[in-house]
Amino acid sequence: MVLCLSDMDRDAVTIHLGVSGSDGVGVGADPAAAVTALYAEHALGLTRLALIMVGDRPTAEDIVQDAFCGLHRRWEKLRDPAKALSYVRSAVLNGCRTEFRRARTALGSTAAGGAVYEAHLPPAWSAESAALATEERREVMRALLKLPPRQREALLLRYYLELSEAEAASAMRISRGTAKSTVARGLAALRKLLGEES
Amino acid sequence: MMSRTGDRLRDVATAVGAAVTEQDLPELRLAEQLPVRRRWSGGRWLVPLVAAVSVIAAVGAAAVFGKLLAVSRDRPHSALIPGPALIRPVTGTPGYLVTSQLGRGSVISVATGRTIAKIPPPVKGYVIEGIAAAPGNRVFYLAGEVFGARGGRLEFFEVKLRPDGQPEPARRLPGRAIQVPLPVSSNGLMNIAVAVSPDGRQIAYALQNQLLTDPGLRPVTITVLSVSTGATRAWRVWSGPQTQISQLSWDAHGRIAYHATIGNAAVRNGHVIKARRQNLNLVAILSTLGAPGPLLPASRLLTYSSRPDAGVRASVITADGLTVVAQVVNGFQVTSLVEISVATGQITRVLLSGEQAFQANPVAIDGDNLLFTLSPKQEHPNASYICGHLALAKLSTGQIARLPVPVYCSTAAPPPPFPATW
Repeated sequence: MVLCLSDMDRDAVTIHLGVSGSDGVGVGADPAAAVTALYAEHALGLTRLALIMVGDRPTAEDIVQDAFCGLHRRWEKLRDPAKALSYVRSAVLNGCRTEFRRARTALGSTAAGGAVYEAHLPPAWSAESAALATEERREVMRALLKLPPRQREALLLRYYLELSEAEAASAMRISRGTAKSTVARGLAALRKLLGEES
Repeated sequence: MMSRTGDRLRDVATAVGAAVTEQDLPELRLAEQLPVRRRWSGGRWLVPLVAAVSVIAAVGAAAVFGKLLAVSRDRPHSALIPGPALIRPVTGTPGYLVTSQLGRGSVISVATGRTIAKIPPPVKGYVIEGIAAAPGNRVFYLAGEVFGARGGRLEFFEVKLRPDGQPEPARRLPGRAIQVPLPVSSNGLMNIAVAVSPDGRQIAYALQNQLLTDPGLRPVTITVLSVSTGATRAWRVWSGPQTQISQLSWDAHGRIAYHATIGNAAVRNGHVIKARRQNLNLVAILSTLGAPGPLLPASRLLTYSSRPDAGVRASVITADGLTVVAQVVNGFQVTSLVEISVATGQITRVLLSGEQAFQANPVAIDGDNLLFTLSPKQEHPNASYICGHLALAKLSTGQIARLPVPVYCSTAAPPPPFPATW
């Protein structure tokens, strides 16, 4: 296994960056070091987000790895290193969208209509499905997967990652107003699907 | 922002996301970047290009002037391997793993652990349930089932990988499709034992009685299929709910090592006989050069156990046919990955023992390279967790290297099979 960084390099990274805040990546930092530090801080949340989006853990891990590798590749083109996290979030969302589209296409030939989304739920054997064991969870996940992708993303960014409207908008590459209205519409749609009174 | 719907969403998402923990998050592997399409930029690729051309030239020269050189360098016993018919095994470390999850195949880079290609189903609805690799790490065989209105059928396909690991279109192997009873398929949850001969001309597969309640139990068989003509020969063993052939591997002398559980069987005077209410766990060697017929009389018993908590759990024979690499368990759940001499049936070397051999499951050998699973020194079972990594053992030196391919387990339910081979 070939890695870009040795353990010694990783130690150096911590010192160099001084562990920055959410978006804070040291300007002029070594790209590999900066990306690795960002990964250490945010990979968990992003992998969980991807898992919820695509329902399959190895795929979720791949999507997050791809996103960070993409950031590393394009580091030199990144004008503002403070936007690195936003870039990675966008890349993860894009990856999830692509994967979901692929899965839906593949499943579309075997499952009819709305059952496609049902079929995309994690399979019954998996631990993910164990986490979904209760009917409450299954019901909410089923409803979430029926939402348009944009609304689903907006809701998860706001309610799961607890991003601000501005951060969510930045990750989704849309305006703040659009993000706000997308969240509102998504929430309303989810409420309706769950049969809740407004 | 606070709302009942939002709270429900947050709670559920948190619970689902909790399946991923900080401890089992994979390392960032920046070296694994997928190839990026770039414009030609000066001499950027000049050095790699020259290096690649040099390597190709060197390999070509080696192929012309020293065809057997690489083989003999890999294995000290390779003088026994018939040269002309043998496909050359890899001379270094295999580049690719072919795996399947829930019936869908993937090509994984051994160096990086990343999926570099998906194997499209050769026919609609094809569910992969077994994979075999020919020496050389470029040709793989898929065993899988397709289900239609008239039931299911078992079909075999050959998949060749290009140098960059991308699969070429699969080729259906000739021969009659094998009808299987319904409902057998379980979305890739079955595991069909399949292996390819070192000369690449034949594959062997084991047919089980997958329906335990099937009143018309048919014999469990090892079938040898010619890759070019589709002709088959079969060796059969008596049916029984416990009878199962779980692993096959070939040597270069036309012998198949198989790992099996035989129901209603015992050993007397070195031979397997029928015995009610007894099960036998065994590794035996079948010579396919003989005529097809009953399996056990045509086989030589290598090792066996009648205790359910002891014996061999998985095994694979080396191409030279001198040793079988096996995972053995004793009654105290002490597990080892060992080499067993085919000549004597005795353990000749312990490659790994203890916790890290807990589910070693040796599955494939290409050249000097054994593929198995390396368990952690201390396991921490928790929901869906990483209970090991695929690993490489160099048989000539005994050196072991963990590969960046995690193996998942679950405390909630048995995970599906994760067939992987090189």
